[in-house]
Amino acid sequence: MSSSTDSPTLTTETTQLSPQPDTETAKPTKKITLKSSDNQIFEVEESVAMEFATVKSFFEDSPSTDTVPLPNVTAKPLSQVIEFCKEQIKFKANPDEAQKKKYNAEFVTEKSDKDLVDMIPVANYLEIKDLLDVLNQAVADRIENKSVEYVRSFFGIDNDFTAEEEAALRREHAWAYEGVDED
Amino acid sequence: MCRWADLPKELLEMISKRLDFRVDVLRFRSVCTSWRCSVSPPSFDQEIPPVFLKLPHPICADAVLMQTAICRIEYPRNYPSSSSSLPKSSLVKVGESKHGKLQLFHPLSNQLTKDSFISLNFLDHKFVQLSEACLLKLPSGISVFGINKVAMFPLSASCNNNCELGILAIYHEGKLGYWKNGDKEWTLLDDRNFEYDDIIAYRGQFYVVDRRGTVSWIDPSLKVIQYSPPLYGCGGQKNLVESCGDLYVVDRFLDGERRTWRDYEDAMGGTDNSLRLSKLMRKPGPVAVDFRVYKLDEEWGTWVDIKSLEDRIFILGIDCSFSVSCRDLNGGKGNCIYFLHDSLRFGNGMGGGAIHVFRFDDHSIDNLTENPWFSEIFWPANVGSST
Repeated sequence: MSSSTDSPTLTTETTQLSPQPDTETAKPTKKITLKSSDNQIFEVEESVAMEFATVKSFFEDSPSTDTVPLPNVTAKPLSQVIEFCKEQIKFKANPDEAQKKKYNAEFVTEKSDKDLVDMIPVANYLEIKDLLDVLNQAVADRIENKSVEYVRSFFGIDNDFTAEEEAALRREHAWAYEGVDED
Repeated sequence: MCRWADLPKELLEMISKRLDFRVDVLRFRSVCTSWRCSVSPPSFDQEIPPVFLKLPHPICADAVLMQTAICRIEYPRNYPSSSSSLPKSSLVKVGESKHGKLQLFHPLSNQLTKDSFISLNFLDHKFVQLSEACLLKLPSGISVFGINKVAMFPLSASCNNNCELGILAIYHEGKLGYWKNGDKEWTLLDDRNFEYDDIIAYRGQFYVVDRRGTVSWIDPSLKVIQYSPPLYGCGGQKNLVESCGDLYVVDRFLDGERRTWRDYEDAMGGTDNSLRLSKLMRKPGPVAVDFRVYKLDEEWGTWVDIKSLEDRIFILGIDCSFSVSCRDLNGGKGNCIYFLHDSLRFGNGMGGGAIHVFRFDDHSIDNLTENPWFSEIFWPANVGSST
């Protein structure tokens, strides 16, 4: 990767994977078709699909299938996950730890909070351990030092505590502050 | 669509394990009932052993990296102990104690807040993080002599991953160096320019500014790449501040000459710390008399002399410079710069001189102790200055 791509200029390059419109597969041995819950079709190299442990075992169970339905996965996070796995394949062929680390860091940096949050269940469902590690760390970094309210809106979760439970939480939190240093 | 509240327990545990601070785990558990059941509470009994970084020549110190966050605390409107005289929001620096509890510091003086006059609780108080700060401290608690500014490199680094910890630092007069944990020496990032004044994390990259006001950025391979033309500002000291997404250079006009590293080395002759300081005190440091603020016009590559900060307040701390809107701080007044009088630079420890305020509208400078009203933007307001 040339250094110019890291340059903090105003234009940022975004590569979006567009879903393939047709299901026709010319080389069924090389390509695998994935179908998202919102009925988008993704045609990916077999090596990429085999990065998804869930898809891999699906194929081991029914080798004759040509389309793998992914009922829990929507198109957007799926396209991002595919993008990540494609790069990982390259690093497998040409191991370069520093470049891989850099790519992984950039991959999450440029994603919105929502993108990260949406990708985690997908990475979990497809059992892509490397991606899950990267995503979990990124999310942890983003919610560090943030208020409970912030974390709730980050994940899109409603506060479901009762008034009594909240009072208990408040007591638990009150002593998390340290007014006086021990030494 | 998957609902996050119903995600598998293992997934939540995986994320919570990656939270560096125990307080964050506590907050993580407070999101909703199912998360509270999934994640076990952190313990605050166990002491976190400090990790000493063996900094090589020319700094030579066993130091601890202290990471803090500059936050704005928002008080709830219906909070029982908040009266109308108290501001509804103020600035504080948040760190972690050795037992994993939260510690609150004054954002400028770095003084630890000993007594809180209202009880804090982060279910009621919203923390809005404005910036992060790093400081290298000796076991005695004072900051490392010779280091002006530090930052963890790369930006995504975590202080808990010490084997891979790397730091960027401006040391001595203004050398820009990098040191990775375990390295036998510092790597000088620029062997021609020893006049760097400040480092800032901006748009996911590190930027540095030198005394002439040239801004450069540091690429992931630690190359220093010039980003702006020199500012040629006439002031003697530059700071970088981010405000509303733009990068600003604050040019400080000094009365008196800046100390050189030689002045310090001469004073270092003795081993007695107080003797060293008294030797240094004989040569008074420069005093800030005026400020100018410039913004880079990225399209034209020119510097724009800013005439007013409008509602913004710039705060130039020892370990971090940041900005905030006075509208977010109900007690504050905009268009001013808070700074420390540089009586003793080069990592003289906590404090670093009295806090002063520069007002852009009439270019006046006031000491906070004489105008306590100005300290109302900090929490708690009664710790206005340090000695």
